[in-house]
Amino acid sequence: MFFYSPIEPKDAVLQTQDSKPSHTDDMFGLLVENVKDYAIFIIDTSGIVISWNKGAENIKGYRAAEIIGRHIAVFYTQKDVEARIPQHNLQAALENGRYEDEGWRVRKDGQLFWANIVFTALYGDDGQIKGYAKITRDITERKRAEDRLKYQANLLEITSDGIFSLNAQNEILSWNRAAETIYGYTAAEVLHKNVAGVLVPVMEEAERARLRAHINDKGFWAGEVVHCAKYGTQVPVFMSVAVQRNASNEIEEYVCVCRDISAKKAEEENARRTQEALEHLTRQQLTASLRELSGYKYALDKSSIVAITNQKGIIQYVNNNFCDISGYSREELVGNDHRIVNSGYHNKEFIKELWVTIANGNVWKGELMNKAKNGTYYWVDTTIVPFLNDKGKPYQYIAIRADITRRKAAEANLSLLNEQLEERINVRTRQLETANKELEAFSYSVSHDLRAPLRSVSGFARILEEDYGGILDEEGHRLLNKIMFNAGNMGRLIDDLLTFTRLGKKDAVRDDIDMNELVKTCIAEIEQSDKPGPVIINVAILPPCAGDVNMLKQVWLNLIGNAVKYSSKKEQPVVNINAEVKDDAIIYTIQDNGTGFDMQYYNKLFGVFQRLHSNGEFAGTGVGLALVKLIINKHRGEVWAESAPGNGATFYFSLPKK
Amino acid sequence: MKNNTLEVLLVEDNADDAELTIRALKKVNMANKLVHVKDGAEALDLLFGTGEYKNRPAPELPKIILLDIKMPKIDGIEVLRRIKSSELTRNIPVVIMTSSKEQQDIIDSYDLGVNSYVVKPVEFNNFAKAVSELGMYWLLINETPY
Repeated sequence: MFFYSPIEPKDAVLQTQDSKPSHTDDMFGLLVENVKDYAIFIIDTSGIVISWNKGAENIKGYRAAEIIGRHIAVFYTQKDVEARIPQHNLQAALENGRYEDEGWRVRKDGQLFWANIVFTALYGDDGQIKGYAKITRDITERKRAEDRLKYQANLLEITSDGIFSLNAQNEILSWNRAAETIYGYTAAEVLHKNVAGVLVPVMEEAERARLRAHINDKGFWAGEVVHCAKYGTQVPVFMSVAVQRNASNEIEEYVCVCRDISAKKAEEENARRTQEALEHLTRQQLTASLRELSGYKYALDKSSIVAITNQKGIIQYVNNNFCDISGYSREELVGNDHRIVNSGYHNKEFIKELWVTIANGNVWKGELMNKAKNGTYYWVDTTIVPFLNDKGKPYQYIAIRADITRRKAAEANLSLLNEQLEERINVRTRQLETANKELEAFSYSVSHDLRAPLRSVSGFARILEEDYGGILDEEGHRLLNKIMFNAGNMGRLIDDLLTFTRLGKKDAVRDDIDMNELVKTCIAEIEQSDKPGPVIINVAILPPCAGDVNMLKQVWLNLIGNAVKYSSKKEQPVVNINAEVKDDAIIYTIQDNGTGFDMQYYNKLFGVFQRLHSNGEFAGTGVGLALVKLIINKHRGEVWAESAPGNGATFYFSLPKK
Repeated sequence: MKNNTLEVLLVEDNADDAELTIRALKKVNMANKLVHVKDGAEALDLLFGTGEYKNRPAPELPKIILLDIKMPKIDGIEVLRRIKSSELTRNIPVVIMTSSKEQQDIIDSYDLGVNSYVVKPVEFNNFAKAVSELGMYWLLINETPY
């Protein structure tokens, strides 16, 4: 700028244009002509170049002959031309008499340069503008330097590193925005203050002195420090300090760059803690796992017979239990295979199956008989677990065994006992069969051989009466009748007894039975054979049941027959037959209004040959109710009764539902 | 009781039962042509002309055989089997008269082709009635193929 200030070109040109050339003018013209660092030329009001100096030739690349007469637009960039900048500039100069600008201009060879231009209007005597003096300087270099400085200043402001400088007296000379952010002090607060009052590294005094000495000595230091910042906050920073010395090697400035590493520090601390915790945990887990593992091993060794073999079956390890049961020492066992305890009991297929199983990586379980050193045999419940390598192939086997010799002996004993028991059962069964056959033979005998003499007694008594009745007196007839009556009684007794024993041997079949039909049949038979008096039999609708129809017919015949018989002495005998369906059974009842019985003797009611009435009162063999009870029990039902003497009796029997 | 003509063959080891049976038949006038043998072996000898009966002229076949089951030597079931398995005798009506109510005896008898199975009642009146009714039926009512 100072280049301009002494000379006002306006004046100079005026002189050039409007005064008579003097010697001084000539000199001045020569000067202008030959100035090389400035393009000085004159254009007319329309922008056409009129004069051209050496400087213009130098800066713009055109010689005078080439450019004079051409418009200044050729100096402008295409973009500026299109924006009509040359016209604008001329107009501005016209209006203000002067126009100054900076901008890119184009050389003849097309290169751009940054130009400072000044238009100065040249006026004629009449006050009219005649043209313009134009001075152009190539200030590209300066422009670049300015730009760089501006860029650097920007950098200083936008960087996140705190940057400040101190003079030799430690007074703060500069303090960028990042420093403000990091330490909390604004530039205004700290500039020209001694840094000792602003930022103190947290360290021992001796250490600080040593650091200062190092910086002064070496001219540079970089490292981590903690600064105590505004309000006492501690800020960890990575600080670089460079010393700047003047020509006489005196310290002029300290430049400090401080990077806030608190986030990084916190992260590091965090990571360290995490790592530490993890290591602690891992160590703990590992310890716990190892403890557990050794616990397992201890338990296994205590409880079981353990052997470890390699993949070929060679024993690598045996525990004490193995030595104890086999009778071999550890030295004798290790290095051998299990054939040392082979009993020869198991066949080849069995052993092969074992090896195929474990060689394929599967667990084998089974019972093995082994032979101890002293020749005795022992049984072991064995589990062999293959240990697999990365390829899934077994590299060793662990065999865990439990001594089951006693159990095996007990099993053998048990099976012997079973056999003996079975044999005994067979013997008993045969005995029972024999006894049954004998019983059958006995009842056959009873039915045949006892009846025949009875028939003779009865028959010949009858013949006696028929053939010699005329010569017998009354007493003779009475005695003869007694013989015949008792013979008949005994015949019935035998018949009933045979029915009873025969039914006892039979199983009840389970057919569907229409009880209404069955009862109707039974009543008809009773009326036919017993010829009862005028009895009223009321039969309700009876539910069907499942059972043996022949057997249940016996039940109805007996119970209805009894009801009719024991009520026969009443003026109007009445028998009621009913049924009731319960949850799981059907209960049939036969009620009469007859003579009844005393509940005191109830326990005799259903016994064989047990009677609660004499034959004189009511005829009977004492088998009927026993038969009823037998049959109902065969149907898994129950029979019971209620009565009081003279008040009739009610008999109940239940049958399970289907 | 050896007659030229034979209507009833009574096979009965019990003399009392035989007497009672014969008396009952007599009452209805059907015991005139009756032969009583005392066991199964004699019955078969009589029918097939063997043993004691070997040298006698061929016997006339009875119109009915009353057969007890429980007898010494050869029992009634066996006699029945032999009668019913022989061409000569199988058409003769055989009535088993026994004290046995054993189911097995009844089944066996019917399997072998018995014509009637009667349990002898103990009581004489019933017994006499049963025997006379049997005689009436088989001798008078029933038609035989010969």
